[in-house]
Amino acid sequence: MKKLFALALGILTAIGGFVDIGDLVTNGLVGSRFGLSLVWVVVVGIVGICVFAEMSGRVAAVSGRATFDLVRERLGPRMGLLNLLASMAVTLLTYAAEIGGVALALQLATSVNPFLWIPVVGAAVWVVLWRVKFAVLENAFGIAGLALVVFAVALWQLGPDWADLWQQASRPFVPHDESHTTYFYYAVALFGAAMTPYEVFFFSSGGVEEHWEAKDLGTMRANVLIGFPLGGMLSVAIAGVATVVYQPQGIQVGTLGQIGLPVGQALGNLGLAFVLLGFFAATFGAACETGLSVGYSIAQYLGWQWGKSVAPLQAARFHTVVLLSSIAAVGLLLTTADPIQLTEYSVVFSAVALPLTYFPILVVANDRTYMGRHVNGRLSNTLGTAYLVVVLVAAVAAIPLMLVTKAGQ
Amino acid sequence: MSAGARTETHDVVLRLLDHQLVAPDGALLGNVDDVELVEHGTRWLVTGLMVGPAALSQRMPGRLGDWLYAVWRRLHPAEHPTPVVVPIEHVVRFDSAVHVDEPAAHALTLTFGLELWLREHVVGRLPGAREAGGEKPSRRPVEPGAEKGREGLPPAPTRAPLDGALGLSALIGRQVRDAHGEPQGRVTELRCAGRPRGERQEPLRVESVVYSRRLLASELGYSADRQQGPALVRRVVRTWQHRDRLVDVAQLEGLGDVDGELRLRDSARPRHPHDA
Repeated sequence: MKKLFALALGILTAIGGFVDIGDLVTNGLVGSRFGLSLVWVVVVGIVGICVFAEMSGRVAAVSGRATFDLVRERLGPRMGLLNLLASMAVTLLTYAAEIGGVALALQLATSVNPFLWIPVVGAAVWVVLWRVKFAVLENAFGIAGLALVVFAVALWQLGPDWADLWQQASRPFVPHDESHTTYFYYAVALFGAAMTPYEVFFFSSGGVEEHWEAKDLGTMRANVLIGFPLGGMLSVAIAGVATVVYQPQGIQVGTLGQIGLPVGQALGNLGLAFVLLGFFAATFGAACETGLSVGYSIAQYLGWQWGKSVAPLQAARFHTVVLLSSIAAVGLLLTTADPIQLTEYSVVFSAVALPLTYFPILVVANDRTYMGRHVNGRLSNTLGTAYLVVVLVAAVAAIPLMLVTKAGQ
Repeated sequence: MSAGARTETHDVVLRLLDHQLVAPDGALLGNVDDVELVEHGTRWLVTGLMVGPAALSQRMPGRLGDWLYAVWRRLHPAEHPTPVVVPIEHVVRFDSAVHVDEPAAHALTLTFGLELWLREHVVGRLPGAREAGGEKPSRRPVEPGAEKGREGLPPAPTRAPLDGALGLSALIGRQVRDAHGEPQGRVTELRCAGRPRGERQEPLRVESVVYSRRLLASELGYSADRQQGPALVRRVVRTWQHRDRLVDVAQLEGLGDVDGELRLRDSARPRHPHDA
C-alpha cells in the first residue's frame, strides 16, 4: 500500500512537474499561430525526454553518477568545460525565465508590476532551495502543478470541433499564412521545450539524492514512462485551447495572461484560480529545479560535495553556486528583459545544447563495466540512436532557422 | 576489485582519470584531476592520484590553465604550495567512482581551501546553516581552526608529488614516432595491471601504451570494449579510430623525458587495442 502510494505520488509529481514556462509559452504561442499542426513535435519531444530521462535515471541508479560526473569523465576536462559552460548558460537563461514566469503569474493574481515581484520571487526560490527538504520541494510543486489539468477541462467545455482538431493533429500542414521556415523554427522550439536539458540534470541528480538503486528502476521507469507522457498531454491541452480560441481570429499569443484567459472564458473565475495556481506551481517548481541544476552540474564537473541530502555546511561550495546563480538570474531579469522573450530564446538554445549531454549519457548507458545487466537493451539503443540523430538535426537547424525567421516573426 | 588476488587490467585514462573520489561514508572528495606516474627501475608505476586545482590547471588550455594555477598559488596559505596527491595505497577499490579509505578522506577534506573558507565565511553565516538542513547529520564535523592546525595532525595520507614523478596528463598527447622517425600518433591511454592487496590497491604497473592519430573520442571507452553499443556509434568510432595502436611499454623509448617525443623500438609490434 505504502509502495503504491509512493508510486502514485511519483507519477503525479512527474505529470505536474513536466510543464514549465517553456511549455506554457511555446504551446500557447504555437497553438494560436499553427493550431494543432505541430502536435507531432510534442509527441516526438515527449518520447525523446522519456528515452533520455530513463537512460540517465538508470545510469544514476546503477552507477550512482549523475550527468556532469559522466560528461567530465568521458569528454575530459576541456571538452567537458565547454559543455558545462554551454549547458549552464542555457540553464541559467531558463532559470531566469522561470523566475520571470512566477513573477508574471503573481502579476496576474495581484496586478502588482512583475519587476517588483522578481526580487521577491528570486529570494523566495533561494529560501526554498536553502531550507526545504528535497522530497517536499519536488512533490509539493509537482502536485500543485496538476492544477493545469484545468486546460484539458476548459478545452472540453469550449466544445471544439473535435474532428477538425484531429484532422489538424494527424495530418500536419503548414498554415497558408505562415512560411515553412517559421513552421520548422517553432518545431525546434517545441522540441526544445519538451526536451530541456535541465530536466535530465535534475532528474539524474535527484535520483542520486534519493539514493536510488537498481531495485528502484521499476519505480523510476513508471514515473518517466507514465508521468511524462501525461504531463505532455497538458502541453497539448494548452495548445488546443489556444487553437480553438485564438487561431480563428488570427490573434498571436504574447503574454501569459492570454494563455490563461480562455480558461476563464470557459470555466469562470474558479477556472482562472486553477490556472493561476497551476502557472505559479509549474514555474516555481521549475525555477527550483533549474536553480538546483546549476549547482548540481558545476559541483559534479569539479567533484565537489553537492546535494540537499547532506548538511549545508558540508556542501558550502554547492550552496554558494546556487546562491550566486539565483542572484545572476534575478539580475538578468532586472535588466528589464521580457520573461516571455527569454523563454522563447531559452527553449531554442535548449535544443542547441541538448546533444552535449545526450551523447555522453547514451555512451555510458552502454558501458558494461558500469551498468552490468542494466546496460541499454535493443529497444533503448534503437530509440537512443534514432534520437541521437533527431537531437543533432534539431541542434544544427536551430540557429540558422532563428536567423532566417528573425526568431519566428 | 574485491579481495581476490587476481591481477586486473585497467585503462587508467578511462577508469581513473576525471573520476569522482568517494569517502567510505559516501562524501564526495573531488575528482581525480591527474594521476602520478613514477619510474621504478625499468618499470613505470601508478603511485598516486592528484586532486585539486593545481593538478587540474595543468590540463586546462593555455591562459586558462596558467590563470587557474596562479589563482590557486596566490590564495593558498602555504608559501610554496604543492599539488595534493593521494597515494594509491589509500584507494580501496574503483568502480564508477574511486573509493578511498577514511584517513585519506579526512586528509583530503582538509585540503579543500575554498570549501573551508566558504563554510566559515559565507554559508556558515547564512541563517539556518547550523541547524542540519540535510536528512543526515553532518558526518565529519570540522573542528574550528582545523585548517590552521594542519601541522598538528598525524602524518597525513596525502602528500606532495614524489621526486621525478610525471603527471599522466603530461604523457597524454605526446607524439609517438616509429624507428624511422615517422609520426604514428599521440598517446591516448595507458593500460595498467595491478592486484588489490587485501583492502588496498597496490601500485599499478604500466603495461602498454595506446596511441592514436585522433585524440577526439578517445575517452569514450570504445577501444576498451569492442562490444560497447549502440551499433551506429560503435561503427563510427571504430572507423574513426581504426589506426589506433597498442604497444608494450618496454618497446617505447623516451617516456621519462618531460617533454620529448616517444620512439618505438625496432622490435616493436604495435597492434590494434582490440587485438591485444
